Amino acid sequence: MRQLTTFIQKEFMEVCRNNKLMICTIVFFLLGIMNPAIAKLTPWLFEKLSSSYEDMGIILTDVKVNALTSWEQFYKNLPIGMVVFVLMFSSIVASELERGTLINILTKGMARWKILASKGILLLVMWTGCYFLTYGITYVYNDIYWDNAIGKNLFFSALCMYLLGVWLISLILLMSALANHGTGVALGTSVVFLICYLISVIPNVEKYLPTKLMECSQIPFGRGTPDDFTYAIVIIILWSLMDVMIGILVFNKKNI
Amino acid sequence: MTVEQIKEVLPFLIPIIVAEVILLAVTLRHILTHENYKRGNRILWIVVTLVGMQFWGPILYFVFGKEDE
Repeated sequence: MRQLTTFIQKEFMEVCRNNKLMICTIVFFLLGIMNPAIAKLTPWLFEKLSSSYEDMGIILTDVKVNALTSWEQFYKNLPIGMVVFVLMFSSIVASELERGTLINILTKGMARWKILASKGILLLVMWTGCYFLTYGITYVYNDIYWDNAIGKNLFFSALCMYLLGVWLISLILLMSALANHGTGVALGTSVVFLICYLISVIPNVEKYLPTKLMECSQIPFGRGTPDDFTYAIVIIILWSLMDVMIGILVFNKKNI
Repeated sequence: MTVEQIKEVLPFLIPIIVAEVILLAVTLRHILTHENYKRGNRILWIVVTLVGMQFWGPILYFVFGKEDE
């Protein structure tokens, strides 16, 4: 246990020192504040556009903006955050493999699973912090300017997207055990995501896939209920656990 | 935009500007205080950071340009 906590501490020191913590915080802070800002600017943008549209014969009436406009932006901007997160942390294990810094620790008797576990815990803490920073900022601004009460199950739908992030983290860990370079990890993670996305075209399979959770952005608008997502949530949790377990098994046999 | 409208968006504008300036300053400082990069050279990274200053520039630098220490 002591080895694990020490290693986790080391990981946290590393993200502080190589600026990744700061960049992630700023990016997710920006993503959070951008949502209500865009919603607030929408009427003004339409006003500017309306004069040019009038020449084309299109007349724009008053645009109504409320908290839901901002929440819509929230779900549109989140994938950017996910891409940034995967890019930033795809080389979390691979960079140590390339530099050979793990060899010393492993020969001193550190169990291999503890390396993956500590990295996983770091990623989970970072993702939780960053995600709820974005969510919190959007929520507070929305509450001040409009009213959050018109959105249904806001927290549940946000939680679905959070789970999707957790699944991506588990994929990063699995790919780290399989690939030797950061690029391979990022590529592998995106390929799995893409395959899930493509398979979700098939109507009956769609509700079992993790990518189904992306549709949770429709819940605040009253389209769909939390019950529709039960299968996807159960599967995403099982899949994440399986990823981590397979990752550890592969990493144990890996040639470092 | 009228003064009224600008006043209305100030609570958004100020934090956005502050956060972006911090990000830009940290990135430029890192580029200028380091001699070697994983890929590319100093001029390339300064251009990338300034062009994508909203946040993509700094991220690209820290992911692909910053040398592992």
